[in-house]
Amino acid sequence: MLKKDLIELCLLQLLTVEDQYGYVILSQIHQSFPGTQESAVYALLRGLCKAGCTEQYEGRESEGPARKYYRITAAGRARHGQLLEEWRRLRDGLTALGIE
Amino acid sequence: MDKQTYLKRFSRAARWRLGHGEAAEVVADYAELLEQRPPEQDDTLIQDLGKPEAAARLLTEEKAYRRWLWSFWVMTACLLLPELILTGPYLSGQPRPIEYGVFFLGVTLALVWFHSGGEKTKRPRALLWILAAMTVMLVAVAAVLACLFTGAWETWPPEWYGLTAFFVLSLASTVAVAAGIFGTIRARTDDRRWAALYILGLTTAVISLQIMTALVGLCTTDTHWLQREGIRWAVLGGIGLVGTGVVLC
Repeated sequence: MLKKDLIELCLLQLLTVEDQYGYVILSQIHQSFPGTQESAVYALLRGLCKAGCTEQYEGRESEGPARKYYRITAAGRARHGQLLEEWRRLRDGLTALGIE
Repeated sequence: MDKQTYLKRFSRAARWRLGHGEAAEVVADYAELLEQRPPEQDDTLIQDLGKPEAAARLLTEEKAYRRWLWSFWVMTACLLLPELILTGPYLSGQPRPIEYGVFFLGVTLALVWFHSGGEKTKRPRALLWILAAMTVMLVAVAAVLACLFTGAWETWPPEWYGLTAFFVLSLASTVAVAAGIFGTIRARTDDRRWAALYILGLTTAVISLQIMTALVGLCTTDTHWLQREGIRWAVLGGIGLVGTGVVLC
């Protein structure tokens, strides 16, 4: 499992909790992966969007400006499940080697 | 680097790499992201987001970008080849098939890449001004050549006729090639209708070469050369003008 897949998993994980707009998503991922630039995270987010795993819509919080929100799609949930499964296998494998 | 400069540089790089439609989407996303960043984080803009050009590169589909680069270089070569033949030591008295080849290849590529997307936006004012300036230049070139062909300038020494024609045609071709390359870049990064400048430039370069070729191979006993060659130039010019009009629509 590559770092790219891990970040994709995190992006989809965030969106399974609730719809988010770009800046919040990028800031949260950047905090968890400080060595990864936000532009790289945005490129992955856009890749997920193009692959049909997420979709954009325009929304606004009360009194706030209109923003582009991202939400996960059915294809995104399937991809999330697949990546989660890969992550668990990797984690178990590492644990079996004594890496915790 | 401030947010505006960052967005400007990112926008330019994204439009070149992704094309107008997709670039518009990602530039809008970046504009929103940058707008939401607190001003105190401006100092870490490059650190957090990376250089604008690198950010655009991350979004690039390499295959599609390579396809565009290839087309761009082929289109540029189509413009440069007639110019090189005209101003270099390769000029002969006979038109070569390659001259028609580059003309049709260049026009076809421009039409394929920059055909109408059905947009209803206003045509760029700068483009219309440059097209008008090129039209004036072409009319002036045509007037000079007409005076030379008809011998209307009685005071002009006959031994200068060839040199004058060469100078005027070379100048027109060089300006047209520069305008054509500029138009192609702007068509990719700004508005596809700038490709009209490419087609007009290519047409001018090829016809300039054809005229000079006809003059070099001119036989003094052939009195109908102008009618015969004129039809050929008119056909090429007509196709070029139609192509220019199609891209402008």
